[in-house]
Amino acid sequence: MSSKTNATDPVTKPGKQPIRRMACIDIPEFLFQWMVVQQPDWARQPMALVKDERPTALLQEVNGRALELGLRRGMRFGEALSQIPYLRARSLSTALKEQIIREMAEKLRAFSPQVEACSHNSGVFYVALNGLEQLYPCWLRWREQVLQALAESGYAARCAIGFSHFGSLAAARHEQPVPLLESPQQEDELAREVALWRLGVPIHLSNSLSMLGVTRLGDFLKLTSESLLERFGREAYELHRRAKKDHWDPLQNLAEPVVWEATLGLDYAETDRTRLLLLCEKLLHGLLLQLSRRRRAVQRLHFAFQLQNGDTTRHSLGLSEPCLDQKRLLDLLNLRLESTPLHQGVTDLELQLEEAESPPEQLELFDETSRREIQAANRALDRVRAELGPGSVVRACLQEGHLPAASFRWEPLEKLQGRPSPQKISNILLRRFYAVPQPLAAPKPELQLDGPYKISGGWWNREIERDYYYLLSPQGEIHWAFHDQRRQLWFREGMVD
Amino acid sequence: MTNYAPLWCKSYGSFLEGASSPEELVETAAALKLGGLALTDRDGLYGIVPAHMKARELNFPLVVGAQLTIGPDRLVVLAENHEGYRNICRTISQARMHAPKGESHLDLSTVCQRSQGLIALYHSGLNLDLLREGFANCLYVMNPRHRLPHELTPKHKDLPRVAVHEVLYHHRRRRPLQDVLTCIRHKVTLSSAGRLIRPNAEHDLHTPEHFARLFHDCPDEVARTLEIVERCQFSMAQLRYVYPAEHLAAGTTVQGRLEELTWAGARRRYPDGLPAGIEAQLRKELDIIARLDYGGYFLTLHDLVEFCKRENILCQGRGSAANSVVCFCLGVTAVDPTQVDLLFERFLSPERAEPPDIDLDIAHQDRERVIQYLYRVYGRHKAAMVANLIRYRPRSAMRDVGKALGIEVLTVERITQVMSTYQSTPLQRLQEVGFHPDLPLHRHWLHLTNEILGFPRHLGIHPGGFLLGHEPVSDLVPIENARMAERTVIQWDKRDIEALGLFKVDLLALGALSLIQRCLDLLGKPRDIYAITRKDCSETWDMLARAETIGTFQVESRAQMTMLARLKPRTFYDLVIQISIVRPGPISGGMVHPYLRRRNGEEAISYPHPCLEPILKKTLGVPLFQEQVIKLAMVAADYSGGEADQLRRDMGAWKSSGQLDGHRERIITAMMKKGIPQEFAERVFEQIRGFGEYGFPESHAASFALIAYTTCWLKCNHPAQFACALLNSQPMGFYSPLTIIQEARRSQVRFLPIDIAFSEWDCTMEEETVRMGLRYVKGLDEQAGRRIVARRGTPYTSMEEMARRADLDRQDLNCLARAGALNSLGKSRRAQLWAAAAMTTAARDCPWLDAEASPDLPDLSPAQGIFWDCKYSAHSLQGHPLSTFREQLKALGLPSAEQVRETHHGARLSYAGLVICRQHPGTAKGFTFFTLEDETGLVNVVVKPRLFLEQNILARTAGLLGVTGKLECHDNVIHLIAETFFQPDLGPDLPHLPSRDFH
Repeated sequence: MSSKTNATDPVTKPGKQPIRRMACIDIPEFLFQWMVVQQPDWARQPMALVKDERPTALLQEVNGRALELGLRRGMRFGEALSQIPYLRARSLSTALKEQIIREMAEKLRAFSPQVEACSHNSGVFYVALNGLEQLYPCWLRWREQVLQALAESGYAARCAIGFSHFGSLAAARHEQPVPLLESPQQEDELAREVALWRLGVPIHLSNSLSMLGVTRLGDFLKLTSESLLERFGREAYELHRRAKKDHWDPLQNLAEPVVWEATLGLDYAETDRTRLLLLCEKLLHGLLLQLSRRRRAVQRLHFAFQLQNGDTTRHSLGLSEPCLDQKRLLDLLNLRLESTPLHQGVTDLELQLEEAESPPEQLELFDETSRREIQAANRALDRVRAELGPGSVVRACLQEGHLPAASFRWEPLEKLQGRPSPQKISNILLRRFYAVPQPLAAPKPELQLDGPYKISGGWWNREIERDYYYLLSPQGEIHWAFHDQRRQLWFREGMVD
Repeated sequence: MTNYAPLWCKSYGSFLEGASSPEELVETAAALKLGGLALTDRDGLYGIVPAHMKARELNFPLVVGAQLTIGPDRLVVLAENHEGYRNICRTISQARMHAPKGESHLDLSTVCQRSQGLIALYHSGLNLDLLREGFANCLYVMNPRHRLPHELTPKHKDLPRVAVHEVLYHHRRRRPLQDVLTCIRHKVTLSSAGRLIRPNAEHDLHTPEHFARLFHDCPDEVARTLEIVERCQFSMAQLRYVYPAEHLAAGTTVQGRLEELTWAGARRRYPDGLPAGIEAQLRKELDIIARLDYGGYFLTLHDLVEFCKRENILCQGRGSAANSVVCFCLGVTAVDPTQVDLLFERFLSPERAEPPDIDLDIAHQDRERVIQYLYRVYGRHKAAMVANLIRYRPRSAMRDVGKALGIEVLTVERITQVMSTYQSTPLQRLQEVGFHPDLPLHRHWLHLTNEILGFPRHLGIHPGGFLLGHEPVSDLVPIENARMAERTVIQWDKRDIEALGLFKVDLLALGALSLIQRCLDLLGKPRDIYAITRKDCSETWDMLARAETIGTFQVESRAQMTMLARLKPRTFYDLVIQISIVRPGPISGGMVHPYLRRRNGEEAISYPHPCLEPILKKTLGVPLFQEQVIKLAMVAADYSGGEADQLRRDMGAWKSSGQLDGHRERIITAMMKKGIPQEFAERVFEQIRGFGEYGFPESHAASFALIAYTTCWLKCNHPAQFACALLNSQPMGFYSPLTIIQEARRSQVRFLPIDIAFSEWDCTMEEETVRMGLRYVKGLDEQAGRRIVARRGTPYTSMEEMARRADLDRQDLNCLARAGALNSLGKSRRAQLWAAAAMTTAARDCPWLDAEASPDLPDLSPAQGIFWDCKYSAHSLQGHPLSTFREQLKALGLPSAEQVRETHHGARLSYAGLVICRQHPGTAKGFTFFTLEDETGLVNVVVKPRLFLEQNILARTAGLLGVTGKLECHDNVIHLIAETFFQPDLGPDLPHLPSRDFH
């Protein structure tokens, strides 16, 4: 095959309508390659994607090595593990998969502003080449750079430059891949030879077509779109039309994520907190204005300071509810700044906002008084969290456990929902207990004891055997105590008053 | 010191709650010298029979009761007298029958209406007024104490209080197991169970001192427990079971009717006069039956057999009943006593006084009709099925305990996958897949798994056992819904039935009888096994000697075929031995080879002691049958009849009861004292143990031999009809339809393919050719298939027309097209699939619409055609899947099965075939046996444990398997001893056929 520069490419011939040029970058077993990049010791191991890690979960995908060892998509995870105990498996949420694809698309944007991720073939990306001729006089050179960049990131890929989605994919996945197609006619001829299963046709459709002896794209194209629609549904119909290039099929550029971000670089190193806060205020004001125009509010605020010595400190503030209140946000920022060392001096500031929809109806649930009270309380709690950390506001929740310490737990409190109704206080005894039982001398014989009440268990982990008593002291105090049978020691669990 | 009696005790009969067996509870209570014990399992009497048997043995007072669930509350009821017991059974039955399986729905008014003879122990939550009204002076208030702070002494001053505690185990070391059972029941782990598990271990059987200390402030309530035991005088021994009598003519007694039928049957069986000894034997048996008053049972069996005869359903009695001449004359069994030595005492004995237990094998396709007849005659309320307690086995125990302990599910799965369901697995194997015995949690895991083995998990149903009652069965034992519709099951299993001396009728489904029925119908012959077994056909014996027994009953397995080639049976009794000898009993006892050597004249026939000659003469001095082993124990080890009977029971239950080892010392020592060599004595004992796993009584083997011979005779003399009937009886046996057809074709049987123009739902005969039936179209609904046949009338001319006339949808047409059933309509399979895919209801019902022209689709290659046949109809008439690959296999240097058979002993070779069967018998010391197949026949492969482990994945999953190894040929038996596996790559068109794998 001769190497041609783009100067002689039909695209650049003057007086002609420019023919669309695109490249298909095919990263086989893309998600598995990503997993290996995350965990390099998984290279060359059998791998599978599972919905979750229960033994009854089905294998969603398996890599080539797993296939060789007899695993198949649709097998149960437990069964697969029994066959191959060293199987590496992971579940990837839809959100994570989308993120992985977005990150790859970002990488490829370095080589073209228009990148499309194939919706039904993860690992396949289409890249528009029109307009890049000046930058890349030789497409093959462009292709080499792309593959090299991917290799440096840990990905093995194929790349073919063609004229259409299907055609370039077919060229990339041909049994003898063709890096650069000279003409749409060449692309069509080559595509017809490719087996359907190589083109990522959905398995159920591929199987049905294979039953009919339709195994290659050329065979597939001999059928009519309408007959496929009638027999196999819209999916087959659309696929056929794409393959026949029957409809307008422009590149669908993957949208870049919107980031609410503002940065400021200083010519000097700022060490004064107040002045720093004023600078943050400036940045914050602009961002809040943009947010408010879109009827969005701040849910979380990230800020980063680059110091003179090159270090960067990063912080994050969460809010109990989305807000656009600049004063409040600055207040929280100020509290956090108070605990941030600044003697090195800040040279660069960065603010990022996570947005959320403001839930106005929540604010209407409470009456004016309690609403204001609840809001104030929540603001106060926000300050506490800002100052002491996110785990500093907790509440007690009952749980089912026999031991006193196991009968409740502390849970982080995100925000107050309502004002608790006032309780009637009556003549009941309250039993209060210590966070940690306190050692106690053995009770004297003359003390009145009520008990023992036995609690034992935990034999599977840490065996416990306690005899609980209520001790009435001569002073009339009721102590709640226990004798630890295993250690032969007395402890005070609490008091009754 | 004041004694007490625990009145609220739950055994493992409260499924997944009680952590001790009923026997353990009674034994411990007796050892503690308590004043009695009330067994009060949750909503059932599952554990009462073993508790009763143990209490009787120890002469310990047992009170029968139950804990009834009434909404969220509980009420304990105890039976004062027989009426009280009946009321417990009726109440529980009603509660169970009105609820889904496994549940119990009861309301208090129902309980109060049936309070006669009952004492109630009330705790809280229920309507006390209703209870006072219902129970009057039989109502007590429980004062439960478990050392918990929230337990308050009840305040009902007008009602007598009784001291109780809830007993869940016999000893507090079972507390961990009880916690685990709770977690299993609620499907939680221990760490998340919270208050679902008990807060302490105060639920064991307390000593009298401990109980007195617990209730130090109310000794009268402690004493009241003994008063209650005193009031409750009912014992399970009071149950009088009356077998339902047949509706007899006036003036006729049960025994009289039985004798009349027996002598009439004898005249039919022996038209030329009764042979010597038979008349005396008949009189003896009838006399024993009369003394034991068992006549009604025999009349029932006779009635069922007569029903089967009237309805032309093949049936045959099996088991120890075949020892009875009376059964033979009544037509219940078919074993002629002049042909085999019978031991009537094995079946019935006055000393044992156990009820007879007759299993009736019925053609499986017709068993439901017999069951419905039984219900019609006796009524649904007087006939219920016997339960089968599903108990924890090693794998299930390990899994459930592991989950409860919170061990990572993947670890649990990985370990349990390598475990055997029934047998223990070596610890080393478990360690290989992640079990760590040095970890405390894993130690708990193993210990608790061993503790839970044998515990019941839930109630299943015995395959065919029925309890028939003179009165409603629910007066005798609670009944509940079975999973199957219109079926009820009692809460006791067959061991409980036997222990109480109740009568059980077993109606079992046997596929081989259906096969024989179908074959005889095809031949237009009457359904009479006996008529066939009277024929002595030398060709049949020749066929057996050649081991061409695929599809026959009992002698078609790889092991049986191997034995046939050595034993070469020529008489009926040879066949009886053939069936018995390939069993764990003789194998474990090392008796097989000595017998074969003596039979072949390679070894002199001798007897370890002269007293053993009468017992062992017919088996050339080698014990092969269960009865011989029992007789050996009696003659050589001086066992009495009763002791020998106990030995027989212990043989049957040795795995669960562990009682068999108690006999070892005695048998071996006694035999040696008589001069019998120790080596022989030890082998006899090993044989006893093997018989425990699965040994055959001679009478049982004889019953089976009749059926086996019948199937062999049919196969030999009518191979085409036999193949047709066998194909209609699938799934059954060891071999797939493909193998059955391949083998039949080698015997010159001709087959015609499935065709919508000619096929019925079942396979049929067209002259002497077998037409494959629509039942072999994979995925085709039977109703759709029968519509095709029913609406055939004039031949179908097109797919659309057939779809219209037979009301078929796209899916039906797909199935037919793939299986090649539409080939007679003229188009290729692919063209038919293409057309079927477009077959909407509109297209089907509108023939005037233009049909679209079919695209040019490639034809199937021969290999693909066979592949599709195998995949979509489980067989192929175009050839064996490997036949199209023979050239490729030849090029790889791989011979055919035929060529392997012609290779000499000791040769090293490689062979590749489709895996059709894997067997891993328990007696084989870890060896696995494969059967591989190609177009020329079968090859047997022996795989050592180490190789199976090393190449585990290939061994377990490969469809096409290559084996390299050494050939062994002995006595016409050929095995390839595998050294390594490989997998030849023959491309994607080779089908992966499912193999039939056996433990």
